[in-house]
Formats: sequence, structure tokens, C-alpha cells
Amino acid sequence: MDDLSPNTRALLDAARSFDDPTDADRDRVRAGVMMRIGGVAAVGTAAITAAKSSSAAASAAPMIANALGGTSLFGGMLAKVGIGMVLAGAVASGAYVALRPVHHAPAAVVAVATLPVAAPVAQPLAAPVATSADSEAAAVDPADLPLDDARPSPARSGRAHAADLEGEMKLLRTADAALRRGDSAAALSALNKHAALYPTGVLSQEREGVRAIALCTGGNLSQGQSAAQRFLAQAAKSPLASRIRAACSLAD
Amino acid sequence: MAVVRPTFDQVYQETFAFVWRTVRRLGVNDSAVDDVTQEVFVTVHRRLGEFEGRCAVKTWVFSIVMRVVQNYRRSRRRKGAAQPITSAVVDPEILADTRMDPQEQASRAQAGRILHKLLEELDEEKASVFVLAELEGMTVPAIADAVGANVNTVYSRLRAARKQFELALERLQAEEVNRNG
Repeated sequence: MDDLSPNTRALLDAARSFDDPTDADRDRVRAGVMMRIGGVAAVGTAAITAAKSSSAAASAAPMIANALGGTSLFGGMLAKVGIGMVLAGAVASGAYVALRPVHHAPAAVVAVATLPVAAPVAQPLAAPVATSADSEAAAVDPADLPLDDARPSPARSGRAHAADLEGEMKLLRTADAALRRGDSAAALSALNKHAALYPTGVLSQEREGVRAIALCTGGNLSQGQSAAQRFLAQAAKSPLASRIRAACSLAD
Repeated sequence: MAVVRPTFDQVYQETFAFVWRTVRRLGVNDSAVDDVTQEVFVTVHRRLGEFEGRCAVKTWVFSIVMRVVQNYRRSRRRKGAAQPITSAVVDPEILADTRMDPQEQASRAQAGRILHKLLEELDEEKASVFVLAELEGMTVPAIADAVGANVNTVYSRLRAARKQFELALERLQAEEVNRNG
């Protein structure tokens, strides 16, 4: 067969790695995929509930906390990904599998960040919530989701809490989606709704971080910078920090 | 014999870089690369149960890439997109790669832009076989599986693609010489 000239070969060699993805690309796309294939919202809620709830098994806390805050996904995607995706992605990569109901023999203990999503999972660490394959899972009230009959029912307060968190995540995702399409006003509207419904919600800190971004990108730099500084004073190491600094022109 | 199916996570880890590169090389606009790649893996997730292990995972995934990219192209045509399919924007993260010296970065970015420009001149079938053979190092039989054509057809497309690519490169270089006088 006709071969390529040295000239063309040289070009292909020089360009070969031009299209390689970065780690951030890999993490960002994965987070997006996880959001779309569903189950994330409901299970994410369960993860957060378990991490925050005193009723969660004590042994669960370190693992879930790790899944929520310490995965490589968090490290890799912070600069580019919105809070909704950060939350969903982190949950999807770790807590998602950690909290799925057990239908298989327990697997060996594996680092949370490397667990395959579709793999059989270890023991349930909190009251299991059925996963949904529907990407509209965010619209489902977790309190209405069927529970695994083999497991004890969680306390009603836990379910109500889960419903609140579900609603919180939904509003923050709405705000993030608005920001990503450049609609700061819609983002602020969702954040205001969050503030009205969940003034001291689990994600209230993230809400204020996203608000700072929305204000700054929406042209209200003065208010945005004030909000950013308030946020950074309390959560300088937040996954949102670098994004906030970039949006509000603040030095590292 | 039972099919040993990889998990979604295994497929993702194994093929993400390949999918990402291929989507870019097949002319998807920079701004749509995330969405198109996501769509590929959402489809992979949905159809993983159908994977029967009769070909390599990469080959199976490519067949999905092709369909998603074709849908993307059709959608763009319907919307009458006026801008070129690819842009020459270079990812700042690539330029900021501290492992490469600036000259090397510039050289790679320039070569990458030329590559995209030349690939745009190939039709979809030729571009696919050219990318898989010359940039991904896949064998012709594997490409035949991936694109759903017989081996002779793939050889024929590859031969034509190489010739067209070479001519386009020569033309581009001649234009450059003329511009620089």
C-alpha cells in the first residue's frame, strides 16, 4: 500500500499528542456522564445525609467523607467544574457505589476513588436508597423511593432530611447550569430560592460561593468580591475557591 | 462460554483518551467536545450489556463514536452552522504544560492545527480510517470491524485518504512558501 512521505510522518508525529486530554478533561466528562446516567441525585443525597447524619453508622463516616471531599475527582476538576457537577461527580465516583444496596457478595475493600461504578459493592454504610437509571432522578422525592426490603427502614427524619438535600442539590445544579450558559440572573434566582427554602441548608456555604461567582460574572463585581471574600475567609480550601477567585479577579 | 464484560468504569478508563482524541480529530468543535464525548459514554453505559466481546472494547466504542459524531454533524447541518467545524483555539492547559519547552509547545500546537485542517478536507469515511490507522495505530482488520466495512474497502479508503492528505499538505506548504515569498 502507498506509504506516507517522511514529511507527512513528521507532521503526524509532531501532532500526535496535540489532542490528548488532560486529567481535568477526564474528570469533568466523567462527572457529566454520571449526572446523565442517573442515580446520582438520589444516591448523592443519601451520601450526604449519611455523612452528616448522626444516625449513620459510625464506621461509614470516614469513607463517605473521603468520597465527598477527598477523591482524585475533586482534585482534578476543581478549576473547571461547577458545584453541581463537583457534588454529583464526587458522589458518583465514590459514595454512589459505597451506598448502593447489596445484591452481591461483598467485594474486597477498595479505595473509594477507584471503585468502578458498575461493580458489586461493599457493605451498605447507611440506609440504602434505591438507585434510578433515569436521568430525571433529580425530580424524584427520595422519600418516595422504594427501600430495600432487606434493610431496616431509616427514621422518618432521615428521609425528610434526604428530601431536603435532594432539593438543595437540584437548586444548586440549576444555578450552576445557568452560570455555565452565562445566565447570571437565572443563577441568582435559583440561589435566592435556595436561600429562602434552605437558609441553613447543608449546602448553604456552597450556595454563597456560587452566588459570588454569579455576581462577579454578572457584572456586579463589587458585591461579588465582597461575597467572595466572605466565602474565602470561611472556606479558603473549598473546591470552589479557585473558581471564585478567577471569576472575581481575586489574587490567590 | 459466558461473556466477561468489562465494567463501565473499566471501559471509561481504557478508552476515554482515545474517544476524546478521536472526537476532536473527526471535526467536532472545541466547544462541543465535552458534550459529544459525554454522549458517547452515556451510550456506552446504556449498551454495555450488548457488548459480546467479539471485538476489542476500543473497536466497539469507536462504532459508538462514529454514530455520535455523525449525529452531531447532522445536527450542525440542520442548524446551518456557519462557523468552521473545528477552531484553532489551543487549550491553555496544553500550552501551560510545564514538561514541554515553549518551542516544543508551539511546534506541537501548530502541527495539531495543521492536522485538524487537513483532516477536515477528508470526507468522514476517509478521515475515520486515516485517524485510526495513522494516529491510533489500529490494524486494518480492526478498523474494518470498527467502521463496519470489509477489509478491502478499508484498504481502499486508507489509500485514498493518504493520497488526499499528502496532496493537501503539499498544497498547504506551497501556499506557505508563496506567502513568505
